[in-house]
Order: sequence, then structure tokens, then C-alpha cells
Amino acid sequence: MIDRILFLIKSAFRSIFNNKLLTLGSIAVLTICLLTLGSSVLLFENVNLFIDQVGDESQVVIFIDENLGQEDINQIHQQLLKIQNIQDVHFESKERAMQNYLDSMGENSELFSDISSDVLRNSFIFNIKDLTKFDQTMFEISKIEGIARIRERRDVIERIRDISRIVLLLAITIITLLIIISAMIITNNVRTSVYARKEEIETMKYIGATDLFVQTPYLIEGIIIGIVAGLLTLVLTFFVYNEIISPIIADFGLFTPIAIKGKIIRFALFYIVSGAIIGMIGSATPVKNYVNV
Amino acid sequence: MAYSKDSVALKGISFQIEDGEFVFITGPSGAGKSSIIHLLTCENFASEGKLIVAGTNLKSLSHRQIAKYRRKIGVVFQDFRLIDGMNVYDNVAFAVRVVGRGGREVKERVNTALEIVGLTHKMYDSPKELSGGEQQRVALARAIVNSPEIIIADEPTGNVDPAMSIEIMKLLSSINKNGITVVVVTHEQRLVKAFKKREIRLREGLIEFDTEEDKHQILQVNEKEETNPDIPPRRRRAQRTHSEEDDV
Repeated sequence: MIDRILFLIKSAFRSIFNNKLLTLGSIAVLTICLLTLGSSVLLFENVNLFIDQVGDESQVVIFIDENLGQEDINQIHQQLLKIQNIQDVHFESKERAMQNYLDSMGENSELFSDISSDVLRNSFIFNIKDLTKFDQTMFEISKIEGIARIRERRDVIERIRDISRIVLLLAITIITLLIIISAMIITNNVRTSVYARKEEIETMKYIGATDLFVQTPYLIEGIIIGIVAGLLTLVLTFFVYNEIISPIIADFGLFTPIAIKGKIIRFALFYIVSGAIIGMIGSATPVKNYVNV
Repeated sequence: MAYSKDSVALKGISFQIEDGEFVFITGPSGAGKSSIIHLLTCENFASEGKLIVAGTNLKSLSHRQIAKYRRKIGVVFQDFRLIDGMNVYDNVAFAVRVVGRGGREVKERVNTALEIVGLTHKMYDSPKELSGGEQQRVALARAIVNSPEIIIADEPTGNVDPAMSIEIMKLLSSINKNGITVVVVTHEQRLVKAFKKREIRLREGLIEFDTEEDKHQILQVNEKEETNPDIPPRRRRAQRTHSEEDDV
């Protein structure tokens, strides 16, 4: 049994070395395909991160009617906590708000030191979890009694949301097209490779080889090609992302891009497993057409 | 056996080959020789009738059983069908591994087969480095390596020089002496005459002759027609051309 397995693995390697150019072509195409897949994952993660970070900055502040007492304020707090789409709710007293204002004035703070904190209102500050439900959340908040004013940056959020949506839509379209094109090229490449060995497959069948015996070396070959392409993509992704894309995003100062150093195992598994599966399917499908002799 | 309604390759022929027999199947192009090979190797199936080989009714074989049946027969092709990426040893060893054998047995069987065909000294050469005759001997070694019950040779001398053709036929003859049934499809009358074995001659999908008596009679008739002054020269020429074609 071991001898048989070793023979099949040896056959796969023999086929790889005997068809160097076709193998290199398959590895190149598969690498492009995996790189596209990996880029799509990174793009999605970064866009999500961008939305999250924008969300953090788009705090909503609700100012409490100055006539309300502490009990009413507590009640508003409880009502806010019941709303699911908001997070990090915290109370800011008018005294604290004044202190923050003075702090922000820096050296000029003394000019305002005589102003009483009574000119300001107590407030609650919080973030919206899911920006897509922004309007609905605001509607719920508006129903709470005792709110004097709501300050939110609806226009900014909506613009960011629109841009994010367009970016995601564009990314999905481009990635889908690229994946389809890559898959077609791979199948075609493997088909050419298998067609070149059509006679070899037929001879094997005439000698009495079963379909599985003929297909196994091709499956192993596909897996090997997939693993090599996966590893190559891993190196390329780390290099291109860390050295080129990440610094560009950071330079724009829009948001801090995700760090992939800590995700090396996740990416390695993703690339190697996807590569092996695509390679295996790509190799097995065209061989099937020639084993029926 | 029919490829389509209008293309009937073999028209209800019937013959029996005994265990250990050596048989030539001959005939001009289109006579049905290749169709017989296709039937024997399960590349095609008879549209009607029965074909029993080594106790197996080929018509009832499933896809999986075909692989097992093919291990009982050794096939030699006109174009050798060696795998270029493998050396001589691996080409022969491959056939042993296909049937599930491994380890020392592979080595022993391959060495014996290569010894029989006289190519032990070339076992690590690539098929591309060998002459046509040598390549056919490798194909022969591959065909006999699993001790098959039958060897089916499809024009085994078609791509080798005349001297080597005799060598190949001698090898097949010696393999036959060890009890293996040998069926050789050929159009080389020279070899058929030289080896004096049973000849089944086909013409247009039918058996023209099988027994020695029939063969003698038909050859006599042909000879008479050839020398008959009543047959116009044009017809004679046509007949001669036809007959020469058969012997190509």
C-alpha cells in the first residue's frame, strides 16, 4: 500500500517536472487567483475597519433639558441603554463639559474662567454600532422625553456610508470578474496539460488502470501546484500589503489599516487550503473526460 | 458490430480461438481488423451477438470490470504507446503497479520481462533514445509482465524495419510457446507466410477464410483469375492492384 502511494506521489512529481512550463503557468495563474481572493478579504476587512473607525468618530450627543432633576436623567440613561444599536453610553455633566471646553482652549482658557457651567447642559454621549440603521436609531432616541437637542453628523456619516457602499460594490464586482477569469484560465491551462497527456492516460487505461489510479497523480499534482501557489501568494501578500498598501493608506491618514502580521497562520491556512482545493478540482475535472476509454 | 446504422464494421462473424493458439487476423484496409481489436480491448462493444474472452462475456462488463479484464490481456500497439516521461524500467513497472503489486515483486517481474525481450541493458534509457524495434520490444515486455492469458498485437511490426519485424514475431512466437494465446492483427503477408500459423482473413466485415482448406481454395481461384485470358486486362489490373494492396 505504502509502495503504491509513494508511486502515485512520485508520478505526480514526475509529471510536474516533465511539464515544467505548463506547471509554472498553472502556478502563476493560481497565484493570481489566490492573490485576488486574499486582496478581497483584506479589502473587506479594511473597509469594515474604516467604517468602524468613522463610526467611533461620529459620536452622537444628546443634551438634557436643564429643568430635569437627577432622577429624570437616570431614567433617560436607562432608556438609552435599552436601545440596541448604541454603545459606550456615558454621561457628561455640564461641569465636566465646561472643564473639557476650557482644556481645549489651552492658554486662552483663563479668558473663559469666569463663565458659569450653567450656560451648558448635561449630556449623554454614545456611538452608533451599525451605521446602516442610523435613521431608525435616531428615531428611537427622539422618542425619549427630556431631550433638549441632539447633535449628530448625519451628513458626514451618510456620505461615508455611500462611499463605503460604492467601494464595496466595486470591489465585489471586480473581484468576482477576476475570480471567474482566473478559474477559466486555470481550467483551460489544466485542460491543455491533460490533453498533452491524453495518449498517456489512454495507455494507462488499456493496461488496466482504474479511473482512480489514473486520476490520483493528477489530483496530487493539482494539490502540489495549489500549495506552492498558496505559499507564493502568502509571501506576495505580506510583501505588497506591508510594504506598499499599508503605508499608502497610513499616509492618507484616513484610518489605521489592519495589521496582518498577527494573522499569518490564518492567511497561510486560507491560501494553502484554497490553493489545494482549486488545484485539485482544476486537475480532476479535465482528466475525467479522458478516463472513459 | 456497427459504429452507426450505415457503418457496419463486422457482419455477424463467428470464430473461436483455443487457449495457447497463435492466430493472425489479416485483411485489407476496412476489412474489420481494427474493429476486432477494439472489441477485444473493450474500446467498443458488439452491437449484437456475444464475445467471450478468457471466460468473460465482454458485453456484460461494467466500467470498473473493464479495468480488471484488461489486466488479463496484454496489448501491443503499432505506435508502441510508451510513456515518454518514464524510462524503460518504469514503463514496464507501471503495468505491474497498476494491478496492485509493489515492492520486490515489481523489480523481479520487470527484470524477467526485460530479459525475455533482451533489453535489460537499456532499462534506464528513455523511450526516445530507442529505435522503433527496441520500443516495440519494451511494449512487448509491458504486455507480458503480468503474465496475461492473451496477447493482442495490433500491427506490431507496422513501425519497425523488416529485420526487426522478424525478431518481434519470433518473440511473440516464443511467448506463445509458453502457453499464452497470441492474436496478431497484421497486413504483412510476408510474415504470415513465414510463420505458418492459423490465419483468419477478413474482407468487408466478413471472414474470407479461416481454415487451411478455404485459404487454399480462395488463393487458387485468385490465381486462376489472374492467368485467365478471358478476363479483360483492365479487370485483371484492378484485381492485381487490389491484391497488392492487401499485401502492403
